Amino acid sequence: MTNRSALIRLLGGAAGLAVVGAFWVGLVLAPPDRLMGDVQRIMYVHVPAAWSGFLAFFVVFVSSIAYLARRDERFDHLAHAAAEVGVVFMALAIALGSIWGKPTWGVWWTWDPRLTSSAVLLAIYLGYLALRGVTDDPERRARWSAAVGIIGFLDVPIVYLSVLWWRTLHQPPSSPETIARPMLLALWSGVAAFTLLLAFFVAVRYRTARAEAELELLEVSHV
Amino acid sequence: MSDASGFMVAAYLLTAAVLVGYAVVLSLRARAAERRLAELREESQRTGIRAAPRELPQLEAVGGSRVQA
Repeated sequence: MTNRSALIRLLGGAAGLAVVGAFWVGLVLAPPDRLMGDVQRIMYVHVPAAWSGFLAFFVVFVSSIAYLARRDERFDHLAHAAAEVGVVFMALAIALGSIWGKPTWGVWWTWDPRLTSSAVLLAIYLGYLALRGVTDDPERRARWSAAVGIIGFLDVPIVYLSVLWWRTLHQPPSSPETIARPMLLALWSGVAAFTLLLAFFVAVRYRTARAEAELELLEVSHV
Repeated sequence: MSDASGFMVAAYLLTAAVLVGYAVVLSLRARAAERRLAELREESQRTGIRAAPRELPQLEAVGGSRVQA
């Protein structure tokens, strides 16, 4: 096993333990909310999932700029890996928000600015992944994807600021000063655990993307 | 357990299922790609066929004009 493989395994183990720990803090240590009761505990996974999605799309944004500047295919592979992982976390965040919305708002879904802009964000990165299948030319694929990866990121600040810009059903961001300590601990441990998991997923997906790129070349040679 | 707690349980189960499921899918895809890569590398060594170069060389004609091969 190479050093890098060992490091990725270590990261995976640490991320797994951190997620189990975060679940325990969120489900056992943190008290139920005075008004929402146990349903509020969904925030300890919903917020970290949304954060991880945003962070992954930021990696896509930076890697896309780096690809266009340097034309190094490793940046394209990193952007591809982060986009796929980001889609998983963003879809999870939306689904968890919907599960929280039903008992709290009385509906699974509403066309509120935060929810709508989040759905658009998910659609943008699903489109990014679909676009990668349109052409077999690796250089063209990387260039097109980088353009979408940069422009698509513009929706992230819109999602974040939507609750401040427009009158929405979704609550604005909470301030750490107004959250009870055990609840804040649950939130932060969730964010830390999901960030570790994001790093692990991107590292594994990046290696696979590199292997797939080499496979593409070898398979062309063997036709 | 109240109805509201049921939503919380559903949310945590969904989270665990998605994260574990995606980890398994990633692992299977990585193994499949590495296995196929090892097969093709072995075949390359046996047959002498090498991977096509990603960038084709530029050929310079006698007259000096460059042509992309």
